[in-house]
Amino acid sequence: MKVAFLAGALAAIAAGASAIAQPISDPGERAFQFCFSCHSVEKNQTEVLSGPNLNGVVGRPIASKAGFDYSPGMKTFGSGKVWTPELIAQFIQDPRALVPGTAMQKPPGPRSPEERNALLEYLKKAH
Amino acid sequence: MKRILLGAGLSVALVISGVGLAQQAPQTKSYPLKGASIHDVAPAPGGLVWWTAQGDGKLGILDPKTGSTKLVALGPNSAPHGVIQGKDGKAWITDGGQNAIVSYDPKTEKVTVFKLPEDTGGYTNLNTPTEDGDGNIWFTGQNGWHGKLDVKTGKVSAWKSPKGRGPYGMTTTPDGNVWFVSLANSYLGQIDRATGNVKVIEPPVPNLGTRRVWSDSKGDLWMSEWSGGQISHYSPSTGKWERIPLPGNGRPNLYAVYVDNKDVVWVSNWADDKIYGYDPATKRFSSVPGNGVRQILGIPGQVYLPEGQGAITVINTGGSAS
Repeated sequence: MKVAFLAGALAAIAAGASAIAQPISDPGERAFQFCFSCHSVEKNQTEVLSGPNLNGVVGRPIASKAGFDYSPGMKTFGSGKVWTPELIAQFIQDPRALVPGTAMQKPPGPRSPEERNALLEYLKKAH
Repeated sequence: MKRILLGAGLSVALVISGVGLAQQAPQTKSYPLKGASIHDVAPAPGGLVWWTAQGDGKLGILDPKTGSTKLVALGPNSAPHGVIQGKDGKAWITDGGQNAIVSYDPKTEKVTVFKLPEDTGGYTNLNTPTEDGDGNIWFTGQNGWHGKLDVKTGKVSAWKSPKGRGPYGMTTTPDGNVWFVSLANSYLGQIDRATGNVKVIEPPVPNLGTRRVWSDSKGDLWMSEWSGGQISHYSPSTGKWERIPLPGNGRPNLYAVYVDNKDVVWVSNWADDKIYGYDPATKRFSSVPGNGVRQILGIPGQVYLPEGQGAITVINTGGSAS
């Protein structure tokens, strides 16, 4: 019965204009583009993303964001630890080397120490 | 009337939960690729198979006749995600690491890099390519972008997609038009190829996590729901959107979808490591094992599965229907 009901549903259609791109001038925000598709720094995140919200992540106990389903590997690693800038820098360079079993794959960036520092400054400001 | 409806529902339920799976499973053959990082696959000229070696920054080439393989370097910082074969016989690759569309010509072995405009922010997390009816290459960027490479001029255009992050799977319908789905924002988008503007089509249920999309021979769109766990089907001609549950009582996470030359819909379910084939004509399912399959493609009579544990598996669907 449920199948028959849903089969009749009509989709809602809306016009969606495509904005022209604006350059990103903040080096931290630019570095965050490597994280952007899976993570938000917005307090009022509404999208369902595959990574936890990073608002306030610096200094936060690891694997503690309410409502996010962390991997067993991250829960085990994070027990009793907080995300320091140093730990975040180490994690993003090779997530699975630091946290075996984490769901996060190695991102293609940030690549340089300067880009990583810019990202960390950006995350520190995300409150 | 009520009795008739109940009867119809029961027959559907029997088919999808029992009779369909009782069918003989399709034959498969696996090609182990030890240590390879395989993301997407595509048929290549001469019976070869291409794959994107995302972690290695290379294009892989498999010869199924001999089992031999070859890797082609795509450039500094390369991290390829999607690959298709164009009508020109070249591989067209979405390369997130280079923020570029990359082509590989198997005749000359030349690799050409088409960078996205700088104002895309340097990294758009490029995802899926598709070739439109004019032979141009369209692409999605998961950070909230869609765009086009004009293959004659080499010009790359990129537009911010509606609602921001999420553009993932992309397909071309038989009329040559281009559609994509948003994973993070759960919609189906139809691109106006002249302007880059997008018409947003909302599913009947929010937050389905529409991950990939493929067209059937009639131009209907079939989608894999990562969060909703069902197969979504949208018909542009009627505006109807239906959802089809998989057999069983689990909570599926559907990653990939592909419609083969007989209009059978194939999806990968990460919750039970199986690939399901759904025939809309009979409403029956078949299934084969499939681990960590992020994308599906094929040729008449064969369906290719890139397996996360380092293998390409081919499903024999019973010969060419062409």
